[in-house]
Amino acid sequence: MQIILSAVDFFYNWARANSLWPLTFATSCCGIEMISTSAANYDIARFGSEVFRATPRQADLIIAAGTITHKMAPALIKLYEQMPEPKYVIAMGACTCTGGMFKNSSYSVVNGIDKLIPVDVYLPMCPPKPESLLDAIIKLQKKIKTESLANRKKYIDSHRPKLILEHDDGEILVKPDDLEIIGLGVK
Amino acid sequence: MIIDILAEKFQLLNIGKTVDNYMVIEADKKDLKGIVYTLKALKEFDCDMLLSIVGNDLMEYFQLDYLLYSSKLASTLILSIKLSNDNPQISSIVDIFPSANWEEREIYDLFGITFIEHPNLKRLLLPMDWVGYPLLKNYSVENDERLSWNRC
Repeated sequence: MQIILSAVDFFYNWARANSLWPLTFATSCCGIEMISTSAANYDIARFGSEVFRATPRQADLIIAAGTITHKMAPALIKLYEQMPEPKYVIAMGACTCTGGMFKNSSYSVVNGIDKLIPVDVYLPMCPPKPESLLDAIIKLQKKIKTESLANRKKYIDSHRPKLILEHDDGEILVKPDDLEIIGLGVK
Repeated sequence: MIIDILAEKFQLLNIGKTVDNYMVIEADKKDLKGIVYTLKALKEFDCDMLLSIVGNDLMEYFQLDYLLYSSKLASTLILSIKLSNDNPQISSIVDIFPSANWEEREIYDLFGITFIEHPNLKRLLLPMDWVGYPLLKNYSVENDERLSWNRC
């Protein structure tokens, strides 16, 4: 049984690791490097990740390229939840790893996306070079190749979003009745 | 020349010039709509564009600067208005310049200045359920309980 499973694991992991389809998700300047990585000079297609999907339903990997603000955070969690299992996350750039230069006194930046979703590979630089992104993808491929179907439950438990979205419909902040009308000058 | 016409109708508190030679008119907040409307209707100035609205928290008071541009004269005029610190309110100029809509929403979002009769006054840049106004001088991230999860 163990021999059959490890043989299945090998082919299963080999197939998945060499066709990681990333989601088109670039929120800031790291996106430029991601585009450059997918272009002809660095050619991400050599590692089977050239198909940037425009929908999370078809993606295996989310490369969080750029600063995540508090307003963007629910969108990131929603996109992550929409991706089918198995799914992986690369935190690209200093902002997504720790908050980067916005860490200490910014009111709008999330200090690291690992507060929102689980991260597989951290890639800290500002911004990372295309070679670094390729290195991160290779590291992720190595990680995928160590997985086993027997540990499926463990994987799913470790890849749950850290933050559950609440349903909010706070649309109107100031009601018209709350406004006090004062003199308007010339009409 | 423009000053004379304006001074007939409204009480101008101060008239000056910036370093790069823009005329600055300081007026009371109740005259805002009247002055902007007059500048738009006036043939001598013919202001046809609102470049920007600048909000500024100067601790004792708020200052709003309206940058009005005349493409006919190719000149910019700055209308400067002071607002008191407690319960800052000013009338909206969206019905005169529709481009003021998002500018005023942004200032409401970050400074908490209420624009009266604005058609859609809600937060523009920050999340809808945000508490506080982060560009105020006395705002501190340490005091914001919402952001406490961010630092653990």
